[in-house]
Amino acid sequence: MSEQTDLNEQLLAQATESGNQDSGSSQFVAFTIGEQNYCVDIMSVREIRAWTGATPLPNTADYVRGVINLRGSIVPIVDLRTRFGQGETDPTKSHVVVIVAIEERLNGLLVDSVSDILTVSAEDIAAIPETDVGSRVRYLDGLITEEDRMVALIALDRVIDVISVH
Amino acid sequence: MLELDQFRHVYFQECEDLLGSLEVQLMALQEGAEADDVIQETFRAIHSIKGGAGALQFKRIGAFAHNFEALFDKIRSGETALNPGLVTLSLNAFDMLADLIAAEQSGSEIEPGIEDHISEALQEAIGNQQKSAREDRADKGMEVSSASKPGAQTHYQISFRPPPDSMQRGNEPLYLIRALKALGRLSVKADLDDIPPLEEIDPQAVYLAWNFELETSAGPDAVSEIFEFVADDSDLSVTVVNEADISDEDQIAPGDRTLDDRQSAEEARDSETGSGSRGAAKSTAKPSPDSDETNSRYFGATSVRVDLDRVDRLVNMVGELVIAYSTVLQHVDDRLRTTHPQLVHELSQFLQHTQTLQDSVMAIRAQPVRSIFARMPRLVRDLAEKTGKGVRLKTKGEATEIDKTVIEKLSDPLVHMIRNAVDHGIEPLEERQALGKPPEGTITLSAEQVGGRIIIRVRDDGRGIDRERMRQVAVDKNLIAPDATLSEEEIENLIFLPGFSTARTVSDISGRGVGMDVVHQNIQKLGGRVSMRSEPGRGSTITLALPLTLAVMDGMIVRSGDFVYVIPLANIIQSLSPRPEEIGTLPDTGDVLRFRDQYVKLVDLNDAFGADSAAANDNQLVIIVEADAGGVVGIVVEEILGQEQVVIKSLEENFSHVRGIAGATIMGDGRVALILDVTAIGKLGSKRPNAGAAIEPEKAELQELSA
Repeated sequence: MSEQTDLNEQLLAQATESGNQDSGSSQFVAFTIGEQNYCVDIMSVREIRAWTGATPLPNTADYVRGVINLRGSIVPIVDLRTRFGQGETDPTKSHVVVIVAIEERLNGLLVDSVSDILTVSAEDIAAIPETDVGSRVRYLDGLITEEDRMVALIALDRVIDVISVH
Repeated sequence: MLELDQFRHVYFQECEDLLGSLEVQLMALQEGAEADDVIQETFRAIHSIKGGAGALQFKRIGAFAHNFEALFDKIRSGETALNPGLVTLSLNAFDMLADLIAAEQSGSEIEPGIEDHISEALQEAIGNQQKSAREDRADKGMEVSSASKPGAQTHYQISFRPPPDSMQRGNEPLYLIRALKALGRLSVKADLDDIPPLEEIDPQAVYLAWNFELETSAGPDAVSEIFEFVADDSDLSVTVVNEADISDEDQIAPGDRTLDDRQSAEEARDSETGSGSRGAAKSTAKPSPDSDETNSRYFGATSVRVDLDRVDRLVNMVGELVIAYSTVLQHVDDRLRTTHPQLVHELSQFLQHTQTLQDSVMAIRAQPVRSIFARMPRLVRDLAEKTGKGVRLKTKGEATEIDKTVIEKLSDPLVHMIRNAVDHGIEPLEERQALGKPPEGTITLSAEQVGGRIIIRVRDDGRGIDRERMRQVAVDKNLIAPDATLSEEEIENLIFLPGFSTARTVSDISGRGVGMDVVHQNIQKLGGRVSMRSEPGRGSTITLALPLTLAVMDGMIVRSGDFVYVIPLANIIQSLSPRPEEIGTLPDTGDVLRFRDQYVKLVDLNDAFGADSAAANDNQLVIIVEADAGGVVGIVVEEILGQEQVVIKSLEENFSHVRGIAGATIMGDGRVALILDVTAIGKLGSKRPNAGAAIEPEKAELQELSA
């Protein structure tokens, strides 16, 4: 839990810092699902919490793990692993929920762990190869190379939009 | 530029308040009041609207308000006398002014010159009305003095003895007492005579009876309504004690004084305190013959404008507080009670304050339905003009209060219902005359609070529903099976099915085949119910039953599998534990249970929600619920955990609507529990092609089967 708090504080500090930075670079919260690294724009991240279970919702897509109580708001949790067609996460206490806001709507992304906060300039974000028309490509905005790792930038609005409309 | 936007914003907010106040005053004038302060307030409201319009260069609003203001300037100075014609004109002018302001606010175009005929009428009225001033005033004076009665307080003596098994039937006397208390000044004495010796006490039985003294301005109907559901089984007597009797017998007892008595007593005390303060005391505590009016006059000065978001945040936080309290309460056990009795006592105090806080916060959101009712006369006038029919609108219970969110969402359905009534209900003039009916049709729009719900009715005295035709259309459109047996009520309620419209020609007013279905959906989304009753040749009534607030609900907490669900208490008919032989399995419907004289479909929550089906449980419980449009369904659960008032949270805020789920709430342990939508639950898992129908065909067929 203390690790979570640290991360949240770090997030906050970095987000404040980023206000003073050159407009050319942005920050991203990176996390892992299995071996793959993903990231989302730090400005959309509200907080990071440990997995504490969710109330399942009937009649919804399989990647909707259910809803949690986030200080009085009912927030849906999306299992990103299922969303990307890689099976279902078997969450434990060490799994992490990244709370993101798309416009006013809050959503939780269930991921394995949060790994890093990346500062990347716009020109270092590579486009998705056009030949790849796999389903998950539609939900990615670009690829970032960080210390030889490939980090896929998630297009939150598209991932979440699909979920909300469902 | 930004500053100007802000001014505009403030102006429109002010206009909203001023129009509200203006409307109240005009309604008072319409009901025959002609007090100087009512006219003064009317003038002031129009004047402020005009002033702001001038400053912000809203020329049309300014010019129109100027004429309107001029009329009331004349009335105020006595040059022009108010008469019913002028009141009607003022109401029309009010509607027009509201439209002009709304158009300016939304930036939408409004037909040029549309206000001219009212402007002209206003100018004409200023010129022509002077002569008859004196006679009119004499008439009105009489009316006012006789009309100032209804504020009077009535004194009731009520004795109430509920049946011993009252609690088992879900009738908690405390709720009734609270409801009584809400009506006015209440004193309660419990009658302890029937309490048996300790060893004979059945902990679930009610042994108490109560005697109430109630002083209220509410009518006898409001009092008997509270006991509506228990009156049959209880010893109940409600007596009205004359005010004269009280002042003769109980003048000394402070609790029994009427409002006027108190005021005069205060005055008396004031005059006793000495001549120095006398003059001042008199001017402030001057008793008014009609205290309601005084209140409304000063209302503007004592209210603040608060953003609705802030109120909602408050409502949410209070909800959280209630949840936090129940979390704390879970730690109170017997050991704690003995070791820290004081702490436990303080906690119960805390609960009381929290509940009061919750009620007060909810009351902030409540608004009288007047704001939407007031839009309807104009609609009816327009429709009457368009259709060439004579229609009169009567409204009742405009002061009934309901949650602001509900009010906002009520407007469209009401408009639709009234359109429907004018278009399809009321007959053309000639037809009415041929039938010997009054040539002018009447539509009555009423609102009242009955128990925990607000009932809104739209009644017309038109031709009613042609049931045979309704049925035929439903069969033709494949909405019901040709051989389905439907009761009269069920046939009438077919009107709420999607795609149902009996209008022979599609008119520009209604009859696009979406109308009543949309009403049904909108009301259902608000947690309300809608039903239609009709008497052929005599008219139809559509009844909306709406929750008082969207924020809190009484629910039964149940468990099924690993999860906890909330079933709205308002929908529950009965809970029971059926014997295995009472349950049958049908090939295409699944399990059914014989309940009273019909078979009801059973829905197992584990199956319906695709949760892991636990091994068949021997002591399954069935909760019989009533869905909208009269369908009855049995919900199979494993355990009933209790009854609670739950704070309703929206799933749509961050997610989307989920079939079968009306919302969610947060339980004492912080977990989310889903609130069931019983109407949708009944249709879950049903594979029939017309499963979406509001009326369960299964039910009818099963009745045949059992016959």
